[in-house]
Amino acid sequence: MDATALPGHSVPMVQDDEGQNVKRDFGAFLREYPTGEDDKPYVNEIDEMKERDETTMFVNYNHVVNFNEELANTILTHYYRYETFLRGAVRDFIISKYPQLERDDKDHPRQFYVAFHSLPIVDNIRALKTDKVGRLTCIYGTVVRTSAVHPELLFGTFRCEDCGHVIEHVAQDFRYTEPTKCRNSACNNARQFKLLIDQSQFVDFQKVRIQESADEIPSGSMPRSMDIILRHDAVEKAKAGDKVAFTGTLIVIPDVSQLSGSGGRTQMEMNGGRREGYSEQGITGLKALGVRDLTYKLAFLATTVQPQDLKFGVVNIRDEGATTESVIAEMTEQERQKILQMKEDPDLYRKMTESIAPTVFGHDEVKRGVLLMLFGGVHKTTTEGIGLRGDINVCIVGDPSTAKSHFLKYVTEFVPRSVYTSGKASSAAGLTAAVVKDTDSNEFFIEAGALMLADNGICCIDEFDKMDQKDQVAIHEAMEQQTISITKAGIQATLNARTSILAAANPINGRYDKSKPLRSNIAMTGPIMSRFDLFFVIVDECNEVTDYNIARHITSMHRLTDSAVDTVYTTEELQKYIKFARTLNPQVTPEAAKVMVREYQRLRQGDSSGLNKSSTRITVRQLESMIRLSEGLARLHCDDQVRPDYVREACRLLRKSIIHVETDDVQLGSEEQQDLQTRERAPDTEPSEPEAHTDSQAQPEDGAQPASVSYEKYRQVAFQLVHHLQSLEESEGDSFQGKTVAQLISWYLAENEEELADEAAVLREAELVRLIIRRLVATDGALLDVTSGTEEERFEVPEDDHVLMLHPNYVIE
Amino acid sequence: MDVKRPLEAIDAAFVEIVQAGAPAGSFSLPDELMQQVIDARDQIPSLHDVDRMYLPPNSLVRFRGMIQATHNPEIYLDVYATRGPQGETAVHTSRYRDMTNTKEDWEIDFDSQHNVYKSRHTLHCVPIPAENTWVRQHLAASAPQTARVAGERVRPGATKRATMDEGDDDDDDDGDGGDDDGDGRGRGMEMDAEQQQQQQFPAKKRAGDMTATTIDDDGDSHQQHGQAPGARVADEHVHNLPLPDDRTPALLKVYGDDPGVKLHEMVEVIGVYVNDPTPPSALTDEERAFAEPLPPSSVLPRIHCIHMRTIQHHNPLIPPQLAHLNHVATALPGAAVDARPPLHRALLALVGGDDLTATLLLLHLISRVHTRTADGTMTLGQFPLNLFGVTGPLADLPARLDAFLSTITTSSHLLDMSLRSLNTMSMNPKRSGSTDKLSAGFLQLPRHAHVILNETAMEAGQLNERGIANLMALKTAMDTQQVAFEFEHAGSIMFDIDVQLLVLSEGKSMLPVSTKVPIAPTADVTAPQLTDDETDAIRAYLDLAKHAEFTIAEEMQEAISSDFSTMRQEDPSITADALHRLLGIARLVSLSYGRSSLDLDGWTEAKRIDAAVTQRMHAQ
Repeated sequence: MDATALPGHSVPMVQDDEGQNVKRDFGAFLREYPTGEDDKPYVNEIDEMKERDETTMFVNYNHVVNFNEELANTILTHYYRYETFLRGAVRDFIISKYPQLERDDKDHPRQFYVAFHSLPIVDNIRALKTDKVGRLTCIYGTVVRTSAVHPELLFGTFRCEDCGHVIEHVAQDFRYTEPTKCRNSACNNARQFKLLIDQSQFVDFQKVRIQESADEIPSGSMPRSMDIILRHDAVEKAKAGDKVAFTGTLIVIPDVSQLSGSGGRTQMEMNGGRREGYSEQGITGLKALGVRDLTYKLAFLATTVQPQDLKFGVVNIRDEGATTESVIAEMTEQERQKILQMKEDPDLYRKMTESIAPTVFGHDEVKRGVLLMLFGGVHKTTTEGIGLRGDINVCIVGDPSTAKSHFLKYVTEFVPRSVYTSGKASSAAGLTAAVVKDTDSNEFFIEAGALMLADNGICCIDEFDKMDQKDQVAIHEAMEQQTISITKAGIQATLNARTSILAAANPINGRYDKSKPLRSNIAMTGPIMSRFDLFFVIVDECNEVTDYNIARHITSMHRLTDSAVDTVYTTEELQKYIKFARTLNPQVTPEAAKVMVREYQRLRQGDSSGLNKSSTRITVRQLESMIRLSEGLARLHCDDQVRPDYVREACRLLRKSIIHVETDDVQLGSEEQQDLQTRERAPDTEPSEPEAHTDSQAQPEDGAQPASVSYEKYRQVAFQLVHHLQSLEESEGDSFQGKTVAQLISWYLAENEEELADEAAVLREAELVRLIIRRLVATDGALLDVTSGTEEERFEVPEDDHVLMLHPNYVIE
Repeated sequence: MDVKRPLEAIDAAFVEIVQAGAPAGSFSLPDELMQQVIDARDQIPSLHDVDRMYLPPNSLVRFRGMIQATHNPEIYLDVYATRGPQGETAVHTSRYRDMTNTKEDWEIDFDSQHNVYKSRHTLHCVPIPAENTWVRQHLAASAPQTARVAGERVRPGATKRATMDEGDDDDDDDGDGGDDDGDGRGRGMEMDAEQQQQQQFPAKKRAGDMTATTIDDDGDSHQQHGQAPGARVADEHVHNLPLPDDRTPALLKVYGDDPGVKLHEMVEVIGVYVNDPTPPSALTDEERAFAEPLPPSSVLPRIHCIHMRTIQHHNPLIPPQLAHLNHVATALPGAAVDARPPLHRALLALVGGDDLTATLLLLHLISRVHTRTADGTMTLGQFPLNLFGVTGPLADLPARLDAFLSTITTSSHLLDMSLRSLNTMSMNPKRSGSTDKLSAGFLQLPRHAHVILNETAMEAGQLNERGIANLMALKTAMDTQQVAFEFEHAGSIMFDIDVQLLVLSEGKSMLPVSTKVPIAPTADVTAPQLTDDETDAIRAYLDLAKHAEFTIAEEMQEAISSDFSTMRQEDPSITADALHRLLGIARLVSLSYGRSSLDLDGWTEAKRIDAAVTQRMHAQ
């Protein structure tokens, strides 16, 4: 297309001085940028273009700004007006180096194009109004449709049917344009022309439709779409489903689909020859009446096509390409102030935690975990080029109808590019991806599954434990390497799945059994479990205070008052803040590193001491988790350094997640024994450590409490008793007749004498051991009551005199 | 202004403004002209009540409907200059019209400095889906005589045609064509069944059917042939309606700022009616594939809106002012509360004297979504209900209930959840990425519409992928009252709806309905006996109760919280969801008695009802 042929821009009979200035300045830019340096990128680019046989010169808009701000501004605001001159400058610039490029194979003047990229602002489709027409603009969206590539008539060569005169170089503009009049001055023909296809110049032409991304649309509105016109080198660069940014300009064209019997079009089929029966004026009858449709359509004439995730992305808080500067540039002054204000708030961490999932009452630890997941850790690449994931994966395990799904839904709403799916998903593509055969073309293509769709976002997977076997395998790779590999039907592909995973799982038997380790409570393999940075357990427990508060929270929601879900920060504020914070890449300070090493050692020791032997193994994965969580905390505070405090908090969360399940108290005795008031804290819990208990059970500090004991203590006592009995059994063989309860208790007390400070402690311990023995008999089935006599007789025997043996079926761990 | 020629007045106003020296591009309709249009409302015919053949082009018309989809804004030449044969020039406005009409020998000057391009918003608006006949009759009766000139013509084929439309409905464009035979047989059988049903229950309403039914005191019902206005809409448009309808959809063109109407909102507009007999444009196949052209205005009329407002309800019996407010600050008027006993009585008759089910049904009928949390995770207020045990003497319940509801609710529909309908219909709306063609989804229903899902029509068999998707869509609608608009290649977007779903089934429903209860009839099923006054009172009552304000006082909140805490101590299996359910029931119970706040009685009653439901479920 030649813009000089536009109405109002007809071939410049009159010298366009401004245009010539632009051409001159732009030529200077191409030759001289960057001023004062020897390495001229645009001079080098000519060689590359020549090598690749391309005719488009790519120009970084920022370079133009640096070179000549006025010129840059002129190009930005009057792009369409000066486009010919810019191309002219490129043409002169190239031909000055390679004069042989001036004409193409058919001896037509070769066309050169200029394509700008890296514009400071990216618009969305909704922002494109008529005031943007003609300006250099960059827009982005999801490609929903591409047309086939067609040749488009660029310059037509016509033969006059009356006198045979050949008229060359008739510029076409969106519609098929015949010469207005035969150039042979003796001929009066203004209608009878024949297009000479072999002597006309064509260019590749493709139409693409893009649609607004779901996260850009005001609620309740439909997404808008825009047709993009691509030519020459830009065709076939985008395919349906891609998120793409286009640079070019908005133009207004008559809406062909609205026109009644519209004018001719410039698109031609190669075999079609000429179009008969079309005229510019529409249906003749209507023309006579003077009726005209004045409806037009916006289209976007694009020169540069870039995959969006390379450089662009606007609202997505997980925007990998964004830099601190670009994010700040997008914000209004007000938003900047708000972020500064938030950053300075000493109570930021708590307030943010409270602003997460406000419809869920309590569960602050889970909220902290989710919050840190939104901030994420820093992606790193080793010198060998291996990527280290920065995304934090979180899993919530819990009883039915606790707030698990609410967290997932909240995150889905919060993060624009997120996918909510169920492990039981019925889609063919499932969680990962599927190879699908197109029934029309018989071509295979890859259908994206949830993990791929959540690339650069968060994938929320409900019922994670019910996942398909094949998905379980694939998710290993996705969770650590953040890729999905497909080898199927001749397609071999490694696709990105750079996503955080927020999973929810149900305990194996529907209810979480606190006496068992986490591992035995969920149907998940060790390798998958270790890929989660944080595990949270939500147990539905009755507690007067909590229940009251939950009820208050729920009634508030029903009171039609917004106060129930009033948060310190609005969702939007959080999103902006997180988006900004995610551009920071905090560094670990030496002090923080020291704390990390120490904390890791302690975790490892706790792991190997046997007390937690049934928990997830503490491995380097947990160290990485610690680093990620610390980085997330640094980002939360908009700090560019990871400080020891952050590491400590990260460790606290990690400990909660790894160990607290094991430190859950074991309920001892039945309800009528509650008065025993046996309260025992885990002996290894340091005073500085927060109390170890599950999240939902904010226990009252005093008052009646069922007899319970920390899991470690329970395990420790049970272990000693069981081993004692086992060794006796082994040494005495068949003659072993078991031990009475009293004997066992006194043996245990003797064994642990030095740990018991005073008499009161001994009594407490004795009572505790008695309860544990009861549980071992009644609940765990580890010990067998072999007291002689019938049931009634046994009932008469004092408890201390019951004889116990190791249950023959009990397997010692 | 002349309602038949509004453009003259608009052009005159434009000329006045330009002559006064104001920039032509800033032209907007003068307030007094706007007021004249609004005042003339009663003389302006409604597009639904007149035969479009008699409607002069470019005259003012009223239209009431639901926004089904929106298109991209349309760019048009708002102000354009023309050049006369002697080189004289003039400027014109193309506001409120599709086509411009220049004087003979005058030409549009496309390069003029005076030309102003602007954009106008285009909304695809369908007649309110599932709107019941009594609402339509009421509106038609109150419409001006002049506006009904052409409405008297009887169309003999209308009823028959409507039944066939119903059958056609399943014939989706991209449905698999392989089982035509089976389809045909199935349809034949279904139509037989339908006819039988209609014989048994002549009162049964069919969407698109012009048969109106009133149930007399003696329980007999008789049919009235209503008016059959409007030309029949082309098939492709019948497909693009959520439900078949004999009334035409319209493309609204709105000037000025983004009107900000959301999908599925109801609007009432006054605008310039465009009906242009121009044949569709000649497009190449490829262009057609790339952009499905909008149907010509003879098929899909365009209305250039002068005045537009969103309405909260379409009940002609309650004050339209209520429609302007989101939360009405008045308690239910005492007179309306009087409608509760007859309604309860009527429902009781339908379910064979089962008080619990009748009460639940009553509460269900006045439920609506009242709160959506800001973070989008929770929707409160909806009360989906599953009544099961619909068999034996109750086997006719779906049809009977549908017939009854169509006489008291503004919008209602009975959907047979058969395998075939699930496997072929489409709950979610779609937009094709390749052609931009919109396909309506069944769940695109207006605010407060009522749907009976008749699960007794289900048979054992294979659900295909579409069937599963449809079930998922129903589940989503129950959980969060949202419908997913599917965009090819670009995922789907959730839109809010507010639809009451009642599932009638033989055994427990397969859908995850929060409240399920078996019907326990104690008496014979009889037809509801209501006087006309009672029926009208009930009609008003249902919508007034939905719009009434409701509060829970601070003390009450304390009391409930303590109570819940105690309940949990007694029975740890009570979950937070149960509290949500109890509060929902308590709210509806109170509202049904016209109380605007929750008191202890309401709370106790809710607990009683909930306990009765639980008990009956356990007894199963």
